[in-house]
Amino acid sequence: MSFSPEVQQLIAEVEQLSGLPVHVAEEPTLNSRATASPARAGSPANWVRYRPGVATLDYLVASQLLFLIRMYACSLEERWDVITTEVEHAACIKAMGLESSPPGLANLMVGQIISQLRTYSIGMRIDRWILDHLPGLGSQQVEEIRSQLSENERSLDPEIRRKFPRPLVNTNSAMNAVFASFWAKELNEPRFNLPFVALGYRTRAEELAAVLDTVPDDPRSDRKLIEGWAGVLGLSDSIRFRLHSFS
Amino acid sequence: MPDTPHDVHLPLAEFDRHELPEAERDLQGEEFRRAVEQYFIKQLSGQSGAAEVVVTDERIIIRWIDAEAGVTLVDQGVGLIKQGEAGKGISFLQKALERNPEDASALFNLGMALGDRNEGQDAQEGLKLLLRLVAKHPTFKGGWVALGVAQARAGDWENSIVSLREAIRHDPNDGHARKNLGAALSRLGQHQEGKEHLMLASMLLPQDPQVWLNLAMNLEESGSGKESAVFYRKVISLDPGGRISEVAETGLNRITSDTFREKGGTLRQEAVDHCLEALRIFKDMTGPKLQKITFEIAMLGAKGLNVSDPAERHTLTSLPGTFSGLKLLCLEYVGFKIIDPSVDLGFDITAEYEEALRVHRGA
Repeated sequence: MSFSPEVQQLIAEVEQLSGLPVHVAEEPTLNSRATASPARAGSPANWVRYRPGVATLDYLVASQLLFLIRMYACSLEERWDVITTEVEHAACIKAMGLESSPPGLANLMVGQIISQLRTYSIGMRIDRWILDHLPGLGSQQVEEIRSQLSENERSLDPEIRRKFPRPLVNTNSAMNAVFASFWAKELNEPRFNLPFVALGYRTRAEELAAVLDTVPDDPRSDRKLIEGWAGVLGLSDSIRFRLHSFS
Repeated sequence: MPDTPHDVHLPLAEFDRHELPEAERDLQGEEFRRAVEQYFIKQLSGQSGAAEVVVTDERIIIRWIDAEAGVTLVDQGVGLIKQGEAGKGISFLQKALERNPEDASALFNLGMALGDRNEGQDAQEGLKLLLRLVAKHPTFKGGWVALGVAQARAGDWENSIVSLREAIRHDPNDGHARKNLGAALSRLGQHQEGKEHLMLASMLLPQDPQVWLNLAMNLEESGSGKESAVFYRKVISLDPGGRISEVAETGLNRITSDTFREKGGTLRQEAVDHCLEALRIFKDMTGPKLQKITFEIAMLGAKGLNVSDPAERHTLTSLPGTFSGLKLLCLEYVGFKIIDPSVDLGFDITAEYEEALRVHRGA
């Protein structure tokens, strides 16, 4: 696979910051379109995995590499992983109204909502950075974002909303709402924001946007950003930060 | 045209009533649904692309179609209407108008499209838009004609004539204006002036069957039946099998019938004789053979048969010999009396047929 010069430069940057190689590989069984895993014990390389067949590969890989760059840009004492121990897991089950859901489904939902908390908050920083610094990826970025916005709109379907507990639906929709609000402005298409406003997510989205605005856009503040969002969403007790370690 | 609409479905029960104006927040039922629909229409206006909003008991459904770069909403709307998607096309035109309430092209096309729907409220709305168009853009090409046509459709013939005269004042070579003005004047009994406009229209739009039809009707109403028959035939040749041709065929039959009566008084003996001969020809004929002859004459007759000139002869593939127009008409008449007496040929020779039948039965 031959990546764009922008992606190749980002790969070089991750390798330089981490002192370890970057592997980019196809992963047909991936749930999301792309993920990044920093090097850790037993895996002395940084991995970016992507689902085969995506048309916006350069943008997806670039954004995953930027997650790694933001982490490696911090000193060793400021590199944090977001985790959930049994305590946080139980708190999240309660906060999201998943107590009576089948355990398998509840665990899956907890994993997804925590992952969304991390990837949407930091991801919006990254998208801003790509918009400002990597114009060559602009068309792929917009295509991918439009696809994501459509997917998020579909999650508002009454049938889908009825299937899940209301706190979980509202938390997910609030994050989708701030994402929609950001891109509605960037793309100058307010319609993306409208469904979320109509369903009452305006205030919550504005609160999340306020956290984005007040927390400095600096990788060392990413923990504070996630904490701020968790506070707005009632997820403060559902996450724990642990120092990232290779050991 | 990117016909890739995507639907957004939202639960109506979760709609945030705070988004509505205060006076509408407590509405229920149909009123609430309408308020929600209007909210979305208003919010979605002024954006690239167009939306259809439907609010049901449970759902708000927004169907969004992205605007194609470089193609205006009006162009897209007109394109959709041409493809038979009137509802979607009108939605695009409405968006264009919401974006710019003075957009001449949007006013013109939306006014026409609503008028074409032929529904009371839409027609009224279309008329209002066209009035707005000529008030704001009095020189917009086609504006006065569209208004005149809309007024005529609404039965307002006097104002229609005023608008169409205005169209001609702006462009004396506007064939559509003259065509419609000629028809409107004829409608009000001003046949001479109507004829003058229609004659000019026929020179400007020689391939337009409606022009010739208007002219034929004008002449028929003025008592120039023979002349009008020529133009009814012209319509049929320009629009074979079309809706306008059907009107022309009816007119032609009417003239044929009138001419026939004018010539022969109460009972035309040659028609009695032809009917009698037809009864004899068809007496022992099988159904399919009889049908074949009758339908062949009907096809031929659709272009008009001259019943006044016995020297004009015709042949059939289904029956040997040569026939005058009147004889063919009598064969057709008798044929349909046997096959399906309910068929109205638009040519009444009942008396002649009854007389022939009386003679035939007595023979």
